[in-house]
Amino acid sequence: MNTKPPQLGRASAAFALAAAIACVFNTALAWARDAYAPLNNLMASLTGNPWITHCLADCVVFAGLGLIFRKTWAANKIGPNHLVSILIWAVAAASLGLFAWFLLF
Amino acid sequence: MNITSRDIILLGHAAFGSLAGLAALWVFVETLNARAESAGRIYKAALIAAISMGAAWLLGGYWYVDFYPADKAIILKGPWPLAHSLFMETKEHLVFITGILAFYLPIAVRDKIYTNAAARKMVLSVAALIVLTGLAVEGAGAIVNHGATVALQRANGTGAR
Repeated sequence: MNTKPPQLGRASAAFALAAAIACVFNTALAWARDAYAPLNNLMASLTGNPWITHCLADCVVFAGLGLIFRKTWAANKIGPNHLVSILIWAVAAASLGLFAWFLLF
Repeated sequence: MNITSRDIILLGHAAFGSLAGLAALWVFVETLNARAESAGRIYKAALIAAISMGAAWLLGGYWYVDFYPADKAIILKGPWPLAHSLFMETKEHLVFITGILAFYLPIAVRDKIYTNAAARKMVLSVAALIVLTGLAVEGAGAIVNHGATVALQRANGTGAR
């Protein structure tokens, strides 16, 4: 009888953790851009619009970390239920963090 | 009737965003009772969600960069400046979170969700988060639109009570 608890696949776990980190990174970058004009200007100079650079940075973080975690099996060391919780809390915190930032500042 | 490319881009953005949300809802419902026979359908729905979200991003991004600055100036002079300073600012960054989740969904559904409870829980969570954040983004879009409408009504002297 197989008593091993179900695990997420290698890619699924890797990109779930990458998605959680990318969501938090997205909010942190939005805060940093809004609070520090030189960063916003630098990002604008890279692609012509800071929002486009922001979008590309998020994609690079998600894809890059996902590939790294997939190669190193790093995310599979975290239990699947824990990984689901990390993703849900990361999305909730990142989303509310954006709303609160633009409400307060 | 004069339909401009600006109109098509904006409506296409909203349509693809809604389609992505509906596809994610489809994935959620199918996953609740996932079977081996439904795995292919779930994968197709997840792909539709990801591709639609990509299209919504491209169209919305083009519109935001090229056309929105004029609307922004109008909104900020109107009676609902929060439509830009709170709702558009939040929406333009929250949409990245919805997009990342939508791009992850086809990867998550590749696990055998009909036999693997952990994978099923992950897919249900991601699909639900896409729907919830997508609804928030759609709602914010409606508020931005209304912010521009009331600003134009005030400028034209109509709509005031």
